[in-house]
Amino acid sequence: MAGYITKRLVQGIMLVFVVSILVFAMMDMMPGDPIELLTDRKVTDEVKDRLRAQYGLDQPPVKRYFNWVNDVLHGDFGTSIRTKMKVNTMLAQRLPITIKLTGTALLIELLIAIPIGLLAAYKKDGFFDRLIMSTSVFFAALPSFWVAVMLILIFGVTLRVLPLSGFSGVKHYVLPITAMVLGGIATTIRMTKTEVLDVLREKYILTAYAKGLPKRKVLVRHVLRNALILVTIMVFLNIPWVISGAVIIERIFVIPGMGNMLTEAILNQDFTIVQACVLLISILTVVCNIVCDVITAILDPRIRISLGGEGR
Amino acid sequence: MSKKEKRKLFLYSYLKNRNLMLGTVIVLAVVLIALFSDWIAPYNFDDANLAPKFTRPCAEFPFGTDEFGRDMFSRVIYGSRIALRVAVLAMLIEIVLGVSIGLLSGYYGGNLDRVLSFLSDLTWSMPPIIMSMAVITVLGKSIDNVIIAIAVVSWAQYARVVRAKTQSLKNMAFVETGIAFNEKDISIMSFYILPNIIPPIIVLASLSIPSTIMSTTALSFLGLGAQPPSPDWGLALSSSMSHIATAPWLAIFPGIALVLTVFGFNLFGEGLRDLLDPRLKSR
Repeated sequence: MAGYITKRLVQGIMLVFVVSILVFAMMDMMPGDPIELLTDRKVTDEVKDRLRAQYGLDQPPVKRYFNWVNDVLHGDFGTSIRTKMKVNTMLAQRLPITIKLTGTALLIELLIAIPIGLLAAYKKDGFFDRLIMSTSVFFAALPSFWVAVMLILIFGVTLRVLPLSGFSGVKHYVLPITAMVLGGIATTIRMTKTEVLDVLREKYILTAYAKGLPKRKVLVRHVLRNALILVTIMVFLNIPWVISGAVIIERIFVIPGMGNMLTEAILNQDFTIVQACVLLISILTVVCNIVCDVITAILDPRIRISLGGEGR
Repeated sequence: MSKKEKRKLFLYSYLKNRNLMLGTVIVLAVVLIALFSDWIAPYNFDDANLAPKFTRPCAEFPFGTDEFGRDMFSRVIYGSRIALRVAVLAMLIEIVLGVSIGLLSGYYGGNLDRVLSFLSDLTWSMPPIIMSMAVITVLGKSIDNVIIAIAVVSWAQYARVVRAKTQSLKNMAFVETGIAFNEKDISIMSFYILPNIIPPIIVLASLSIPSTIMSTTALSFLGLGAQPPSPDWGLALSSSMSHIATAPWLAIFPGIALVLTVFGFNLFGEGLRDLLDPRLKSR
């Protein structure tokens, strides 16, 4: 077990390392000299050179990469070229908003999707299952940004019950979260159903029935317990996706979160911010995947045994 | 079963699958609309001042007009071209990249496989929208760069499937015969292995089209893809946002076109998967 966790950790660190090189190289290849973009024609070359030195742009790429990594490891993502603000300060303002938004959306999505998926699997091919599956095909085709626009149209413009954009009170959360939940719920329901069906096909479920356990008890004691593994997997696998979904939702509802910051930074070619956001999201993705694997390994006796057998 | 019987059975199960049929009809309709936009659309997509701006949907302008007095119906029709062009081109690049990388790493194994698998695991695990955004930052915002960005971040799904299939096919008798007859590696890969992995590639390709269309419109919506005066659906939706209270039809129609297209391709892809490669279903 410990061997497995170490192995996954080493893999994860390697992934993050390669991603950091890629992210750095990508931003380095960006067309247009950021200093030229910043200054106008009247600025003399000496001033430009001084600015370049100030941002460390006059050093060779490898040196700059290690400088950057060193800063990042010390928790410093540099200074935004456009706003002249520390990226850290900007992140500190915006990250909590995104986390609040995506966390709530994820929680609500799972609270709705998992029971529905469980029921659909349990009563497979019944009326409820067919209803859910056919609506979920339709919901899977709904892009969250169009859902968002329609929600604004219905609740903001026509009914005038909820604010269109901005981010100050609880009311402002309702539409963005609804749009995010509706955008991702179909996939989660279908995943839950597939996983629960797999559990239902296991031999120990048959055993439970064979020893005369009533249906409800089998469902609660055996199926639900294994569904717990599923829940943890889904929470962690969904985090990166929910966050990337937030990029669009934040843009539509003018929410000052990290996603909106990333979009603005790309539109303004503000590469320090893009670097920071992409790196953070990549690290988050890798961490979530590792946590997911480790939790599965701990919770699922089959994986635990197979790891204990070969891992040590 | 003879070849003819097999074909008959395939056709029978195709026609019997109602979802697949519905998907096929929608996909065909979208493809025809895209091909014959010039005949179907009453106006060109950038003909301005055809009517007063923000004309409500009426007999002459079924989807109304936008802030430049352009016919929305024609723009939605022409938008299908952009969506399909991006989806098909991105898919082709993904297939070329993914299949060759998958073949190489499955066939040769060893260190090459380790490096290529690492790369494909890396691209596979990252959220595609964020990675496409990063690529667009480098390349600049345009619809052609969106094609490249999407292809660069989504080839891994093909590579993974092709790699696994190649590994299992490599040890089959007919491939070993080829090797024994001293066939070149390249011809083993392209004439022995490749023909046997075409069905899963077709399935993956048809399943990837809807998500490609969604990502493209999302990127255009963010202002990173198609630029005005392009009739792209995502761009149309984002510019409709500023007139949402006065001209809601500008948001409704491009959205419906987008949802219908994605819906049709989803049904088509999933139906095809169940028919060609039922084992992929559990994923």
